[in-house]
Amino acid sequence: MSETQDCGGNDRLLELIRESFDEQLIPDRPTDFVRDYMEGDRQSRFRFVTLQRHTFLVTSLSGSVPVIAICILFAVLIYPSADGPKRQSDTLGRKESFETVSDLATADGNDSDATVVDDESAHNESSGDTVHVQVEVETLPPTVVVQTPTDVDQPPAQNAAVVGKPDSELLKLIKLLNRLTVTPQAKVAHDDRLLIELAEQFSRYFDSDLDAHLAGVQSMNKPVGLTYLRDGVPSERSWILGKDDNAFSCSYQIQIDLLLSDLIRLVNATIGEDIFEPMLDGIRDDPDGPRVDLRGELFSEFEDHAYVVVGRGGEDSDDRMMIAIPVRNKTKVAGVVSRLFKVDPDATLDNRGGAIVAFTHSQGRQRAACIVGQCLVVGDRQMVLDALERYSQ
Amino acid sequence: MSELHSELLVHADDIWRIAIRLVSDEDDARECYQQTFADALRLSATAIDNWGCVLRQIATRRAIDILRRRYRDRAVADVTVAEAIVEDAPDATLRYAELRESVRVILARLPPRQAEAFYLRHVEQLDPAEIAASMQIQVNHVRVLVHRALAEIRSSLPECFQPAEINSKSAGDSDE
Repeated sequence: MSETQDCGGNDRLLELIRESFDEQLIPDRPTDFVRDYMEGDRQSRFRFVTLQRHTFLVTSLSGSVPVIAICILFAVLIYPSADGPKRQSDTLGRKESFETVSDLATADGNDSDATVVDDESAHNESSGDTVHVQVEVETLPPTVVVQTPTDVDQPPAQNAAVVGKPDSELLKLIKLLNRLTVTPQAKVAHDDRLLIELAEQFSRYFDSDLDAHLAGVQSMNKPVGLTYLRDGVPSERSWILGKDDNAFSCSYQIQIDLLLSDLIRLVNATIGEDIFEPMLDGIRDDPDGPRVDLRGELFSEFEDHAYVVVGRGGEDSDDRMMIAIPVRNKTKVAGVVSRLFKVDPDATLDNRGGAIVAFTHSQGRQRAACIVGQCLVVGDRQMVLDALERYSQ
Repeated sequence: MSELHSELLVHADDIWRIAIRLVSDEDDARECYQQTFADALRLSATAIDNWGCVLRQIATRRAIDILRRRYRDRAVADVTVAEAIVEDAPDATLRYAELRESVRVILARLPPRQAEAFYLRHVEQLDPAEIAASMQIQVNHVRVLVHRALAEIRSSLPECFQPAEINSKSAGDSDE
């Protein structure tokens, strides 16, 4: 039986909808811009992407590098068991697909798609307009610029030891993210020259010119709520980095509300599913889960800074990362972390000198999370333990 | 020009049609059209069997994104804004325009995959199998998405487009 027959009395409605679209006048399509784009010079390529009334949005593809970079920052935190969103989605208690249409009857009360409508509104509010300063609809406040791109190009002495070694993929992503978060000038000016310079900076990270160009344009759609401050960590929190000359570190200012709203877009785009908000809801509501409201109990406790350390291993795949985020109420956050890991079969909780450390492992990676000082520290197990030890001393 | 680019251009008219049909406004349609090809160029050509379906799906998704931005603060269709309607247009033309705009508003509110599946199935008239391939889901899942979308459209359309009203009008027309 066809769908149309299933719909019964809807036949005429569907026919009418089809007719109405068939009746619509279709103006002539633009000239073959694909040909112009692929065969044109660099300037014309940028003209192609800056032609639109709205700024070009490229971020929906999962291959987009900054999306992945920012997800790395928070994936460790949000998915402490490191199996990523797919695993968490399994705990949502919802059907991802249905064997037959008749399954609908049993799924009406559990329509995960239906919950996404409002999320998408939030997504649109957060994503589209922050980059479109010329758009007439309301805009979110631009992220504060603390450092100019020129300053960023000066490698600090602290990370000088890393320079002689080729950057790993992880490090490239982090550095790319940093560049993206200090390029608001491009979005304001819509200046071809700036975009070309930007693309030239990106070109060192990409194999093809096209990818670099697209990344340059994409940087106009930089993550909201995340601002790269500087390489290194502040001296009062030197325990985060220690004396590892072979590590790369950097500091960010975060505006967690904005960042979270953008993460909906970024994580969904990366995974290709509207999964972020349902996942958070699942972590909160799943009777077999940790029953933690990450938005209210964890993210709301974050201060407005975050520090990232990338430890260099012998091979690319050995690179490790740790994130430290100052929190307002460390007792509350410690409780949240314990609850998150208690239900994880791959996790163990251990008391290390009075600090409760959660250990977990998956896919060959050992990770840990705990409160160190006034910070929530999440990441590679050894890096977390080293940080804890440095702080204790 | 490479073989890939030539292959993409074969579908240019279809993509433009989808863009115009869904977003109506030419500027928005141009944006959607260009984004679609830019997205396609970033895909791995070897992984794509049917560029026509993939391009249609990308274009539909892009167009619905634009609709969502456009309608996020507007629950009621305003056909005069969305389409240039000739003042003395025949009733049928106005009725079609009103229906199109109503459907656009509802599609913008639907979960994106439901909107995509519905549009591709019932306006572009792709087979469920083609939609499933391009959306990378099972055929049954496509049917579920379409079914849900239709239920929402049916319940959200203005009264004059409700099935009962349409059927009675059709009956009236045939009587005449």
